[in-house]
Amino acid sequence: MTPLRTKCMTVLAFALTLALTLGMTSSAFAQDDRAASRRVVLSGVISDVATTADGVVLTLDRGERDEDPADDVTIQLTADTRISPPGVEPAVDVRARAVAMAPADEGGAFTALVLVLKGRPQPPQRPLQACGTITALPASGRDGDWTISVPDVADYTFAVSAQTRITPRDVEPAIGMRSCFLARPTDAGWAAQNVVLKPARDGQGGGRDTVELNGTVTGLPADRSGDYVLTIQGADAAHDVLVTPDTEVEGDLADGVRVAVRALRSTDAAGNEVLTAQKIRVVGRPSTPGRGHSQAPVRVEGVVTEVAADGTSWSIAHEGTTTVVTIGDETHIVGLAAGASPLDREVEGRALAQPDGTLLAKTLRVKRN
Amino acid sequence: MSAVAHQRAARGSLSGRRAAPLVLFLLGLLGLLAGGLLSAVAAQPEQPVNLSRTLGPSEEPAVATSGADALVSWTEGEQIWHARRVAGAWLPAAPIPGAVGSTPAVAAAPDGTFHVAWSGFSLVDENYEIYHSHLSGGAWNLPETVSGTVSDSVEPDIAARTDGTLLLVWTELEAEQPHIVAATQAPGAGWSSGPVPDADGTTPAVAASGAEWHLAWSQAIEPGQATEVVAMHRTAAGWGLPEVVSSSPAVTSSDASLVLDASGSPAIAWLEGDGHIGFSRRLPGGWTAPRALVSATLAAPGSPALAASGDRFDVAWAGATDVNVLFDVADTPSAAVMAMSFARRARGAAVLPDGDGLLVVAEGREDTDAGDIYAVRVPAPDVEVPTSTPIATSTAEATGTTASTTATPTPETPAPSPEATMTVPALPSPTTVPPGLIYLPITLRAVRIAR
Repeated sequence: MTPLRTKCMTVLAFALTLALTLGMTSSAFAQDDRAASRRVVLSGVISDVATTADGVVLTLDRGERDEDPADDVTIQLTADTRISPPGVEPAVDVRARAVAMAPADEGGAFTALVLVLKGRPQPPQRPLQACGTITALPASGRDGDWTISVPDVADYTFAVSAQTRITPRDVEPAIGMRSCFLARPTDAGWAAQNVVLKPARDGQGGGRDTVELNGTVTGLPADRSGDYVLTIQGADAAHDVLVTPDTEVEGDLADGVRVAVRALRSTDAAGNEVLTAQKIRVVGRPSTPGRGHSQAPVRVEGVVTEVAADGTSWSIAHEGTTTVVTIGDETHIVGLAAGASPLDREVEGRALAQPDGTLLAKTLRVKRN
Repeated sequence: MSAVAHQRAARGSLSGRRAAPLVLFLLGLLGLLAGGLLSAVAAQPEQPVNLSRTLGPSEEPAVATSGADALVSWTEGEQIWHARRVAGAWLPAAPIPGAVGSTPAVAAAPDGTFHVAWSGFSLVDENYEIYHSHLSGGAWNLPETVSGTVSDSVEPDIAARTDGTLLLVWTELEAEQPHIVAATQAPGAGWSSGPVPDADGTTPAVAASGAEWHLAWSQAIEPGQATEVVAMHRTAAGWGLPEVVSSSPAVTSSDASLVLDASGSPAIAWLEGDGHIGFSRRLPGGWTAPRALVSATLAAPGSPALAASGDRFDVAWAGATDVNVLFDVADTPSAAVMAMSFARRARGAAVLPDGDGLLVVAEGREDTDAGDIYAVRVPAPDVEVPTSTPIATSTAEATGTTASTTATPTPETPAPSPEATMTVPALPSPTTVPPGLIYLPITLRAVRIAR
């Protein structure tokens, strides 16, 4: 190897070394030295705080959520535990989330790496919704605690009262019947707002699923008392839908109107498919597709070209047109990391037209790069 | 995409860059000198196939295989499309009837039935719902509404257990806290669904084996802070505890891709906010320390897609214009193989084992189109795995735009400090290097030098 070539190789090797070192040390990974470990996330309400020789030990009640029974866990705080917000002391009845090292032996204490204190517990604000099989009913048959089981996920218990809307009205709940519910949180637990029963018909299986049809109404009968059938002509096929007194109809049905229908699919005794409408919503007429309902959300898509300094509006360019949408408190933004800018990102979603002509973004999904 | 463009893509984008051959040769020689003991051959991908061939932008591909058959689904506008591979041949693409929405996910049941789930806007309830349809007997069924919730349901993923039970998970967007909802459907039964305990996060991924199933998602441990990748599994006894997989509290960890190895143990690849791809696998004692597979300083990877072939894990990702694959990322990573390259953009890689190689699917955009979905089969490298050689440093950007790096700790040993044990990736055995190829461990890419 000539001296010149040797020098070249030396320079290259040095450059490679430098570049790699710079490159890899910029990695965000905390390169800790464990081969395998269990760092777990524990959430709940602090039920006990004790001071021991080893430091503070918390007991966390993880059973505040009714979806699944969970045992209390004991968490050891150490001098290395980072508490957020800083300066706040853990106390009983405070909601907390911890990232902790799992104990080596079952029954031991978890060791907290991070403890996030979230304030005094409040009932969760979000509703609880689930669909499954009824596994427990009150002795009275309706009012009282129901339990619905979702196989391989969880069991959910909620209270049914006279205020609960149960449909169909002519069906009695029974153990083993499929059902969906929507419950709101109360101090006493989950209170059911709506329950939909899905009985199997004539020995046909319990596979009564929900489908959604979008299309134009044809063959609307003049007599719409009791049960009747209407036909929905969709883009791909026509479907007959059974409308019953339990069907919720929003808007004025007429031949030619565009509707969106949510229906339960089942089979009759002969094995034929039956679609029973739960809700029919008039969304427009053929001459004005998509504009029949003044509040119908419009689709927005494109590349974000501008973001207001205060973040309250995004300009979205698509095929030569720029649409400005307002970002409100209720806007759901999906796929954007906290603090990240949506600028130059592709987005799609729905926005609601406001009385002043502006568009309020309802949901915007930032597509993956 | 034209046939000419296909050829260019198959060769790799470097063929037109004429300034670098000498430098590349020297760098390759240096790599050979430094690496010495290793051997692996990055096999050449086959010719990419344009599955969509439509005028509109096709994006967000997902793929499932069942034996030799495969199904790819993607979004075009608001329509969900699909293409099937039967007996090795791709059938013409077609929309799935009634499937309006985006972000499709695909799974194959043990009986060979393909299932597709997606998020679409419901005109009945004016929110996003999760829908499902399956291909049976050559026909798609009427899409079912699986979620039926009052809030927006987005980002579905679907898997099938060996008993045929389907598992469908998604993000439920609620003002207080987004959380993960799971739905299950036993064969012949209806869907049941409910929130997963303790799964407060977004972007779920699901995988199943036997009676168990595994779930991963992104979750901000502290409100408003960067997300970590968290995983949890369910057995007959119930849910385990959610376990933190990533280890970068200051940087967003997201887009988890979850697979199971032959013994049913999970592994996850994910995207770090600074552009790294992370990887970890679950061992009996817990999750291994994350390893960085691709350096953000040398490449800009998109969301990773992980595949498990027995006990081997392979990862694919789309860079700016390329789709790349790393084989055997848990043990001795191969040189990165460029599976596809496009003039304008590559995005949304999906990958699955396919025979002795991988089926890689991605969105690619050339100068003259709006974006199509391409599939390519990438043979696994002929890896002869002796020992890796830990050295202090190993890689650098050689070409300015096309290099990538790996950090490859010795398998299943304590994770090294960044400066301690970077290993040179496998080098080709001189006896197995195809003519005309120079393998550059430095750039981790098989480069065909234009002659």
